[in-house]
Amino acid sequence: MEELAVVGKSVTRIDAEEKVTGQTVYGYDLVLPGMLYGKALFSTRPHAIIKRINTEKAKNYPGVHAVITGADAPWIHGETIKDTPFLAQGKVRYVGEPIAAVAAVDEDTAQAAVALIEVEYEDLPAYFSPEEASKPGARAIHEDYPKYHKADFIVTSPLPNVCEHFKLRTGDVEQGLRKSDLVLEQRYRVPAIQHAAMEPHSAHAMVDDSGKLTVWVPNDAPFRVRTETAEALGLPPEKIRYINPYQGGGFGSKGGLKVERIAIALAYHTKGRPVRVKFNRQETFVSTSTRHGAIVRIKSGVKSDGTLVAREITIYWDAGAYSEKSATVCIRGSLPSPGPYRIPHVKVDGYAVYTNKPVAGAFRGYGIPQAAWACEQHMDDLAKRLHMDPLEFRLKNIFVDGDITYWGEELHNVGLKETLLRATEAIGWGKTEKLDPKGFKIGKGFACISKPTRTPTTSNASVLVDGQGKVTILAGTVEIGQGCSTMLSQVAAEELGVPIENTRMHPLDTDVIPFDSSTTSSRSTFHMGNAVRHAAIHAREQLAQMASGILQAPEEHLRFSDGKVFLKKDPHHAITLGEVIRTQLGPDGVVRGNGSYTYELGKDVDPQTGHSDHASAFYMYATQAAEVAVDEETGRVRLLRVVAAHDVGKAINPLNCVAQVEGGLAMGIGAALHEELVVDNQGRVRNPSFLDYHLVTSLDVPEMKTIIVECPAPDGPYGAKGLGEPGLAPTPAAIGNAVANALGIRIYDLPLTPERVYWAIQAATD
Amino acid sequence: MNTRIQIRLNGKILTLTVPPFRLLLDLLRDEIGLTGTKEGCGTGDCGACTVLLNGKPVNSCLVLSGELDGADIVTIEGLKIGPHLHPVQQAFVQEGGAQCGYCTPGMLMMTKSLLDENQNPTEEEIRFALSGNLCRCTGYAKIIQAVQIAAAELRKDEAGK
Amino acid sequence: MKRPEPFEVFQPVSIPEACELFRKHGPGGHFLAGGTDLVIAIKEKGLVPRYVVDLKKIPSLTGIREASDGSLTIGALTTMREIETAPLIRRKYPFLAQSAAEVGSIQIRNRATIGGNMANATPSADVAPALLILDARVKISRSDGEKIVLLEEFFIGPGKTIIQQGDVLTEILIPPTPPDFCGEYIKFSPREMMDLAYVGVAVGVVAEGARKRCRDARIALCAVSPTPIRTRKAEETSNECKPISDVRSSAAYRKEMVRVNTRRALLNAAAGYVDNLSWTARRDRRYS
Repeated sequence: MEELAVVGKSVTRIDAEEKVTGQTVYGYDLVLPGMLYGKALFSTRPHAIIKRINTEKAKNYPGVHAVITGADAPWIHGETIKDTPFLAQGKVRYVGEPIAAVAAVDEDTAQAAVALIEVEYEDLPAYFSPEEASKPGARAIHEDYPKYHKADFIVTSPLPNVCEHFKLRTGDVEQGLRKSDLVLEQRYRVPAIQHAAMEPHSAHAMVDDSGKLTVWVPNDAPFRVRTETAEALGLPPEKIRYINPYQGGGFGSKGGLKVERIAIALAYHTKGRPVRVKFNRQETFVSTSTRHGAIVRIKSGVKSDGTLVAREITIYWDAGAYSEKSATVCIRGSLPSPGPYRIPHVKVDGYAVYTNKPVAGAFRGYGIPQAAWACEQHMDDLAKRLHMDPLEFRLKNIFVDGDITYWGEELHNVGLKETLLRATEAIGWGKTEKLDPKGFKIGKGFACISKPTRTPTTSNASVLVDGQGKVTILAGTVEIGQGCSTMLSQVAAEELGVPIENTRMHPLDTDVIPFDSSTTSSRSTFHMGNAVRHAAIHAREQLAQMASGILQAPEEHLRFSDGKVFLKKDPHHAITLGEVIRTQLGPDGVVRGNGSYTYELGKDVDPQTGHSDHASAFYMYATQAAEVAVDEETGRVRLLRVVAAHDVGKAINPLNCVAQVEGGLAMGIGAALHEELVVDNQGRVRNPSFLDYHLVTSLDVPEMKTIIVECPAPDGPYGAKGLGEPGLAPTPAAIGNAVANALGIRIYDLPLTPERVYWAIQAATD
Repeated sequence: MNTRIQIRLNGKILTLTVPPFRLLLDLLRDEIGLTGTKEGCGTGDCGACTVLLNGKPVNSCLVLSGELDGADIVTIEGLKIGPHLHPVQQAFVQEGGAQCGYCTPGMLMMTKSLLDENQNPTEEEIRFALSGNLCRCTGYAKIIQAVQIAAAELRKDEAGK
Repeated sequence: MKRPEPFEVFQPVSIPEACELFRKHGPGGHFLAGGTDLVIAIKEKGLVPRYVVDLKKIPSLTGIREASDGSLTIGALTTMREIETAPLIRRKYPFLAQSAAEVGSIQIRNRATIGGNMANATPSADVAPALLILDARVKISRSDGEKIVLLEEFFIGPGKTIIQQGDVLTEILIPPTPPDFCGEYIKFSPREMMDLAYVGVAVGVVAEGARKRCRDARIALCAVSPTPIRTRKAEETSNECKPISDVRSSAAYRKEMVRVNTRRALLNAAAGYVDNLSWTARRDRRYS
């Protein structure tokens, strides 16, 4: 293989300069001519019938253009279960649910008018725990659930309020447990957390005279949300256009219809004027989405030599009031929940359960972090009871090439073992370098994960080369901060042999850009990387054909580099790409290459057994390790250092890979030590602000070491796999194991706040 | 109820007639049209709206227009030196200090202020100075590297003078 | 969160002028110092001022001065950042500088003032315990003259002080301390910065002679009572406080943390000041 010119290099981000000068226009910055300003009224009750809404005073407030309620926007949406109204339809299911909305000449006026809307409620019993809500006899939060339109893979349950039941059945768990030398059962809990992207949510929408709806929103899946909108409104997709301004972070929150639906609903009542709806920070915390809180029961049987025999897992995923992405989080989070280990007898039941809490949805990691918090600590406790080293115990059981997983897939290109060995080596596993300083207990821990990606999915791309030799990439991948625009530019520049400065990404507009499934599930490098690569190769082939005539040489003798095409044997015999196009197509000529990529092998997971011979286009593997010092008198956990080893297949941009992992680690550290969206017994979020919801600051993150492992995926572009999500997935479990290692006490619930750790120490010493 | 204020914004004198209760952040973004200064929380808890007010970094979401007469304000739009990126901007580009970029303008204004006061900060001093600027993307590591590189660059510039 | 509704902003240049504005315009007026509490109250807590009197143009309200007897006068409009960085404070009362450094972020501290912070009487105000162990007093200007009261008597409840409409808090006065006085402030919070204290403990000890006999020990707390408080009996500190349970922590845990951190603060104070401690070093010191 020829040496790569740009791929594999830490090139500077192509969007960096506009970002450091403040020129980038994010969704929150967008101004449209003639726009009105929308604000919503949110439910103050967790579960209630709306007896009456009075909008008269709001309608008469000066400067108000439209006041709407559910009756004016009678649409229901949902990606897999159509259960979510644009605005509440007769009842509310959580505190923070949008009920009504106002469009006015400015935001203050809209807010003032919202305050004049009167709502009369009749309270219903509310549920705040998925275990309570799914107990036989519990009242249905969605009375019409049986009637809802659902995707064909949804598995319903006789239990109340379960919107999806995932089942995995392999071997015979009962028998496996009986044959085991040691059986351990534990229960772990993970609270809801919030994405807290620095840019709050906002959307702009307009309906023109022809009935075409245009929505400007930094959404991570513009084509998917276009479909969801079309299905809800009963419009053909071509009547809907999504335009993506820059996104100031999303992490899964900025997908689907959230603030979008309020802007859309208002736009149908403003006579062609665009409407801007901005959520402030509090609204972003409460009324967009959260990561699923989860309760994980895990029971394992193991031989005394450390061989895993059986594992039984039950996970309750707290879906909140509407299904959002709960069904697929339940499926893809429950499926690998027994961990990246060979286990002959496995039984998993995942229940996504409606509660009267803020809606849970997609969050970086898609169910993997919750299960890993349980599974990886459980592994350490099994090792402890077996008197085995946790590393040795894992090495005996982890996935390696050629293994058949408990869901029935043969694995290849498994970099897990290398991540495990390198992360534990870097943290100095097994070595005690420091004595416990006075009052502190030092401990180390680590955790492994594997993560699938959504499969099958499709990416399309086009690459345009013009008479100046400039390259424009049309790709539906959303720049959410992860650096996809740089990565895709590197791919196009590589294949066309042009300097990366000569490439640019076309802004994302569903009327112009070819279809892409989504910028989620760590799928973009693999899928869109392939699509752009194919498109660039397609363009290059056309250019080679044209150049072959000019250079009087067969195509296979040509080489592309440095913006030129030349004879391999005689590099001085060269012509620029621009010249090729100008000569052959005239000064305004454009060569267009098209590319498409779908991972074809994917077979849907069988709804009754959870089995699939290709559940994912690729798997991401990672091991992270942490060293902590626990202040025994206060319970405070201080992180001393963290190490992250990630198998990325091939690092297209090593700097960017490290940056993704570091960001993931920081998020994982926050989730481990202090992040929790606290909902009280009346369904109210008690900490919807950055003062009370604690993201890590620059003083809270320790030294971070990132190790990039490259175990190439033959189908990935240049061998690349995905990377976006796993950075935070094993972090809490690694820290939890380190705390247990330090104290000799296992803590089952996140986050590891000083108070929780303190009481655990007290309980153990009593 | 509007009041007349004269401010120096990014080196230019502006005379404005504004409602005194208008927040500086909204004044910059909505009335003057400089959207480089970001709103992350509106309550002084994230630092995305950091600007330099009379040379000192402040949260522009907590400053009222009515107290601004005579003020000198520098925003991200005023950071470039002529056509060139300021060394702190250059370092953020080079080191990967910006991902989604939403916290970046505030980070840069804070960094500038730190390096104006302290040309050779330790890592700890950098972490301390930036602790009021939340970032959800980077884990701060690349940002801290960028500040160190910028500091070294500025010291070089200073030595060359 | 909402944007401010219309109000006027006045910028008097003297204290009598400020008092006069209140007399003239009547109820609904609020002083503006740094604005970090006032603007939040407007945006988050539904405060709707009729008018606002900005004190920042009054020159006499700023500055830190030391008298020949060692007493300090801190102008009410002195910012937290100034207290944090002032060489005089750092040398004389490093724990006071540090308590100021615990407030919000640098951006906040560049605006937040010591007078504003005291006048708002937040139960978790970090600087309050440090001032309380210094026996600090506040000077209040009224239309009929001035009044000096002990800070301890100034606070009367959460957000409540003895200040009445039109009163201006002008100075914080710190009387001289004995030569061997040494203080310490420990803020206990889950995050290292940008956080409110779960528990804040300031202690001051006067240790005499080669054997460091403790002649006097003063203890003050924040975030564990309706107002920052001085406690009277060191050994009963955790019984004297009246913490509440909230989204941050339980009352029971707060009591435990008062006990642990008071002991740590006393030990640190007894060990004496260490010059030029970095943030991390200070943090390490308070953890062990």
